[in-house]
Amino acid sequence: MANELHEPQNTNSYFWAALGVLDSTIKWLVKRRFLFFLGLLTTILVALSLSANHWVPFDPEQMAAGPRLKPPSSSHWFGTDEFGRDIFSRIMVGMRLTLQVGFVSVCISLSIGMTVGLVAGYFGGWLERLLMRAMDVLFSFTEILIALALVAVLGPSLENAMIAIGIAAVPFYARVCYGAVLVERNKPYTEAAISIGAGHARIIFYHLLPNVLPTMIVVSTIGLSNAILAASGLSYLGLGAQPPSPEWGAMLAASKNYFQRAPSLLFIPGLSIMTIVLIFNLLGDQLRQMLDYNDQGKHS
Amino acid sequence: MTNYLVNRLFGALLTVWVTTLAVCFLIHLVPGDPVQIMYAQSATTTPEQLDLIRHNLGLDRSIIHQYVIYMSNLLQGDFGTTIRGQQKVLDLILLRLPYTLWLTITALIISLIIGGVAGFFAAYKQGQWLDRLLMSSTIIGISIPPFWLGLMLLAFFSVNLGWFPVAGDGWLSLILPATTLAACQAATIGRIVRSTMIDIFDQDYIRTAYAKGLSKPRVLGRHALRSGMVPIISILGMQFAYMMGGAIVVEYIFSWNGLGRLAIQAIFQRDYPLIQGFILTFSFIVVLVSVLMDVLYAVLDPRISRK
Amino acid sequence: MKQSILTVEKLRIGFKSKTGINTAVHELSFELNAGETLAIVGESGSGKSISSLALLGLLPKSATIESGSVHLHGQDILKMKESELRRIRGGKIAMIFQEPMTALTPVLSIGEQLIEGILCHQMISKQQAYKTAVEMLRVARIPEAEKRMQQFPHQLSGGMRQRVMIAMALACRPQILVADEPTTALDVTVQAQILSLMKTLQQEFGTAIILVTHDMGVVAEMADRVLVMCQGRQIEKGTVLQVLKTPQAAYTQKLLGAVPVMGNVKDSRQLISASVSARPLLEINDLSVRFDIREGLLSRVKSRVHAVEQVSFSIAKGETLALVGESGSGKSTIGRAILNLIPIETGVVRFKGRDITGWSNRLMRPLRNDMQMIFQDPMASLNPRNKVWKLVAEPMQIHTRCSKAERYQKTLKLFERVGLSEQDMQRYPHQFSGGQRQRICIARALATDPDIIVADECVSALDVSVQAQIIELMKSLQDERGLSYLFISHDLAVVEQISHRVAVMNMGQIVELGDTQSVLHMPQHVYTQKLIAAVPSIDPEQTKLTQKGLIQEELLSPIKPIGYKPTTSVIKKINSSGSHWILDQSPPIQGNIVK
Repeated sequence: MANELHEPQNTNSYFWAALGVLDSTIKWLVKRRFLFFLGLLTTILVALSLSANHWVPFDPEQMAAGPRLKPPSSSHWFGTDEFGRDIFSRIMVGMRLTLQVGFVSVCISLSIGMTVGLVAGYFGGWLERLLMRAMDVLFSFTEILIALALVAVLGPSLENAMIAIGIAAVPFYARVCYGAVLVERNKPYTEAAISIGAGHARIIFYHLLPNVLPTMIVVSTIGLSNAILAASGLSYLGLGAQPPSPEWGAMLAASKNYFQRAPSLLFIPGLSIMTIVLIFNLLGDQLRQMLDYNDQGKHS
Repeated sequence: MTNYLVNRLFGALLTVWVTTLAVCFLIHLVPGDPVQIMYAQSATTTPEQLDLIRHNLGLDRSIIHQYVIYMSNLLQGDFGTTIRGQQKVLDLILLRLPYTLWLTITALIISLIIGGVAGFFAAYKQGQWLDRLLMSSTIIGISIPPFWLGLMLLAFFSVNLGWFPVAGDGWLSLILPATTLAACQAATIGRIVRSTMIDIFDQDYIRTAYAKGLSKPRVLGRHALRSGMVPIISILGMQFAYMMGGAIVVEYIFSWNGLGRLAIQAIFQRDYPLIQGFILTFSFIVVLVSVLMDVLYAVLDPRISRK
Repeated sequence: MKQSILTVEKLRIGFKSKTGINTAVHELSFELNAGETLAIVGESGSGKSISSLALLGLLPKSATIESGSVHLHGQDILKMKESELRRIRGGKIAMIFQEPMTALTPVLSIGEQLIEGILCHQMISKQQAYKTAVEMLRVARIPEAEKRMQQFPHQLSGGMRQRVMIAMALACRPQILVADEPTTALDVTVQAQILSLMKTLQQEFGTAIILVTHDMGVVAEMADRVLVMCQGRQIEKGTVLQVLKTPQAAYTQKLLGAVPVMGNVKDSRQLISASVSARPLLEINDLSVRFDIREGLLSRVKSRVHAVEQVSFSIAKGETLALVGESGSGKSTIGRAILNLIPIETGVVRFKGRDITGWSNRLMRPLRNDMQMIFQDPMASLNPRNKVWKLVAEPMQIHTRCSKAERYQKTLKLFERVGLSEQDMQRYPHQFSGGQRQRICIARALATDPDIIVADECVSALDVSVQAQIIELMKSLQDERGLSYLFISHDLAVVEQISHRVAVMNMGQIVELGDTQSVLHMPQHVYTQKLIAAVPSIDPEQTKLTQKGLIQEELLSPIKPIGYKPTTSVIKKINSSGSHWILDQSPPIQGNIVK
C-alpha cells in the first residue's frame, strides 16, 4: 500500500491537534482575507444599524433640526434635507430598514423556494413536472411585475413591499435549488444512501441539504442585493416605505426637486444603497469563488 | 425540433392563460371593496352609481361568470375602460407600447454590444489586468441602483448641462433613459458572457481545434464564439424581461411616454382595469420574446435542429 | 536503417503554483524513428499525458516547460514562435485525444471541421479539400462518407467520432501521430477496430505513432518500442519484446505482474459442491426492465428502452457470478433492479426464497442489511461533507440500535479489515486515493454483514496495481464470510480472477452463461467469441489484431415503440447438466440497425 498515509502515533497529541486547528484556521483567514474583511464589515454595519436609534446625533424625524438644505458640515455630517432633518441620522436609521427589508424578503423567498425545489427535485414524477411548470409560469411574470402587482393590490407600505419582493423572488430560488438538488440526486452517493436503507428524511436532510446549502448561500447573498435594490426602487416610486420614513429609496424621491440647491440629498442616499449592495455582491462573489474551489473535492 | 418548438409554444400559451386567470382575480386580493377604493376620491359618486359600476365590472356575479365575461371581452379586443378618463384600455396601451419597446430594444442592443465584447475579452485574457479591471467595473455596475443612476444622469446632463431635454419623445430624449437601462444590464451580460466563454475555452474541442493548427482568431471566432452563442441566446430572453421591468422605473424618471409610466400612474390611481391590461400586455410581450429566443436557440444549436 | 525524426532530450515540465513550480515530468528523453510506434506507458499521475501535450505546445496555462528540448528534423519545437508551431500542428505532428464525445465542436458539421484542417496546411481549393475530406472518411472506414460530411458530431457514436478524429488527424499526412489514450473510453470491440485502423493507416502512410496508454494489452498489440513512466520519471525504455518479456526495472515488473491476463489465473475459483446443491441465495427469472422515453406535448410515453430483456440466473451462497458485456448491454441495470433501486417491468426476483420483486423502499429496508452495492466511482459514492467513519457507520445507524461508541468500535474493526488505519477514520473522502476510497466503500458495504454484494464496475476506475489489491481483498472476504458477489464488469481478465461463473450480456439479454473457465476459454456463442477475440493480448509475440479486420459497427437499437412484444428467447444447452448454455440464434436478435 505505497500510497497510503500513516501518521506517527503520538499519545500526547491533543495539544498539537488543537494548535494545528488554530494554525490552519489562521492560514485560511489570511488566504481569504478579503472575505474575512467583508464579513467583519457586514457584522459592524449590522451592529451599527441595529443600535442606530441610540447613538445618532439627531432624531431622524425631527424637522428643523438644522437649517434646510445645507451641504455637509461639521454639525451635520451629511447635511440637511428639505425639512431641515439631519441626513446622517436618517441614513443610519434607514440602514436598519434597508437591511431588514433585504433579510426578511430573502427569508421568505428562500424558505418557500427551497421547499419547492427540494420537493420537486427529490420526489420527481408528476409533482416535479407540476411544480416546475408553475415556477416557469411565475418566472415569466418577472419579479418586478409580481412585486408591482402585489403592492398595487395590497397597498403601498414597506411591509407589503417586503412580502411582495419575497414572493416575487420565489421562482428564482426554487429553480436554483431544484437544479442543485438534481445534480446531487444524480450522484452515486445518493443511490448509495438508498441502497443502505436510508429513508426520505435522512436522504434529504443528511445527504442532499448539506451539499445544496453552499450554492443556496451564495445565491442568497446576491438575492439579498437584488431585494435591497428592488425595495428601494419601490420606495422611490412611492410604493414602498412611506414618508416620513428614513428609507433610502424614499429619501431619493424628494431629491429630484432640490438637486441644484442640495446635491448631497441626491448623492448620499443613492451612494449608501450602492455601498451596501456592493458589499453583499462582493461577499457573494467571494463565497462563490470559495465554492468553486471546494467543488474540486476539498472541504474547507 | 418540431417537438421542442411545440412544447415551448404550449408552455407559452399555458403561461398566457394563467396570466389571464391571475389578472382577472387580482381585484379580489384587495382587502376591502375595490370599487369603493377606486372611487374613494370622487366625492360625487352616489352608492347607486357605485352599484352600477360594480355591475358593469361584473363584480356582483359569481367568480366563474366573471372570468367568462372577462375572457370573452378579452378575445374580442376589449380590455375594459379606464376609471379616470373613460378611455379604452387597449387603445391606451397600444399607444404607449411602441415607446417602451423602442426604449427596451435600444437598451438591449447597446448592453449586448458592450457587455458581449467586454465579457469576451475578459474571458480571453482571464486572470490578467484587463479581466480584473472589467470584473471590478461590472461588480460596481450591478450594484448601482438603476433609478439612482437615472436620476443622476438626468440631474447632471439634463438639468445642469442642458444637453438633453428633460422629457420628450424623440431620439435625443431616448439617449439618457437608454443609457441608464443599458448600463446596469451591460454589467450583468458582461459577467454571463465571461463565465460562458471561460467554460467554453476549457472544452476539449477547443484543444482539438488548436491541435489541427488553426490560428487563434479562427479558433476563437469560429469554434468558441459559435458554441458560446447558443447558451447566451437562451439567457437573452430572461434579460429582456428584466429590462422591461427596469424600463418601468426609468420611464417614470425620464417622463418617457411608455407603458411603464402609464402603469405607475394607474397604480397610484387604483385604476384596476388599466393595471390588469398592463400586466396582461407586459406578460404577453415577455412570453413572446421568450418563445422567439427559444426558436432562435433551436435553429442555432444543431443538437436540437437535427435530432 | 532506422531514421530518427523526433528527439526529446531531458524534457522537464512543471506546474505553476503560488509556492513556485512543482515538477511533474523529470528529464524525459527518447527518440522516435520514422514509421514506428512508440508506446508511453504509465498509471495515473505518471506524467505521460502532459508529456504528449508538450510535444505540440498544447500545455495548459498552468503548466510550463522548465528545461529540455524537442527536436523535429533538427529544429527545436519548444523554441519556435507560435506561427511556426501552427504549421507543425496538424501538418507534421497531429494529435488525437481520449474523449471522442467531447473532442469535436458540436455546432460545426463534420465536413466543416475536416475541411478547415485541410485548408490550414494545403494550398488547394475548397472543392479539392472537400474531396480529400470525403476520401479520408472512407480511408477511416466510415460508411456513407458523403452523408457524414453534413452531419454533426452528436449524430455519431463514440467509435465513429474517434474515426473522424483519426481522419482529421491524418488528412494532411503528418509524419507523427500522437494518440493520447485514444481507445480508453471505448468498448473493447470498438477498441479493437480503432487500433486495427491505426495500424493499417500507419502502414499505408508511413506515420510514426506515439501512443500514450495505461493498457499493457494495447502496448503489446501496437508498439514497436516502449517507454515506462512512473510519477513523472522515466523508468525503462526498450523494444516491446525487451520491456514486456524481460523487464529490468522493479516497477515495470510490478506493473506487468499486476495486469490481469486471461488464462493466467493462479487458482481458478471452484465452488464447493455443497453450496451449489443448496437452495440458491438469489434467483432471477425472466427479468425485464424498460425505461420510458417521454416526448411531445404532455411528455407522453412514445417509446421505451428495453434495457434488460428476459434475463434468468441464480447465485449460490459464497459464489461469484460475473455479468460481462459492453456499454449498453444492461448489466448495470440488472444490478440495480435486483436491489429494487429501479422499477422492474416483468419477471421475478427471489432472495433467500422470498419473492421481493418490485418491493418498495419501505419493504426493502430490512433487507438492505443483507444486500449491498459497491459503485464504480468511489469518489462520487461518498458524501463529500462527512467524515468517512460516519459514512461507513451509517448503515449501522439506520438499521441497528448501537450506541455511538459501539458503532465506532465496529467501524474501527471494518477499517482495519480493509487495510486502513484509525487515523483514516477521521478524514474526509477527498483526502484519499481512488483505491483507498474503494476500500471505504467496501467497508461500508460490509457494515451490516450482508449475504450478497453487487459490485458494479467497482475496479474499472482504478489503476492496474490497485485493482489487483482490491480483487484480492474481495476474494479473501468471500472466503472468510461466505459472501456472494454479483460482479459486473466489462473487463474479462479481471472477471476471470474473481468469478466462479460468467454470464455474457448483449443488448439486454444473456447470450451465454456457464462456469468461468468454460465460457472464457471455450466460448460457444458468436458474441462471446467476438468479445474475447477483441481483448488485446499482453504477449507481443501473439498479437491478435489483424491488419485488415475492420468490421463495420452495427449498432442495434434497444429502443422499441410502445406495445412491442419481444419473442421469447430459446436456450441451447452446451453440457448435459445445463450449467453452460447459450442463447439460440435462430430467431435473430430483433433490432433496427442504427448507424
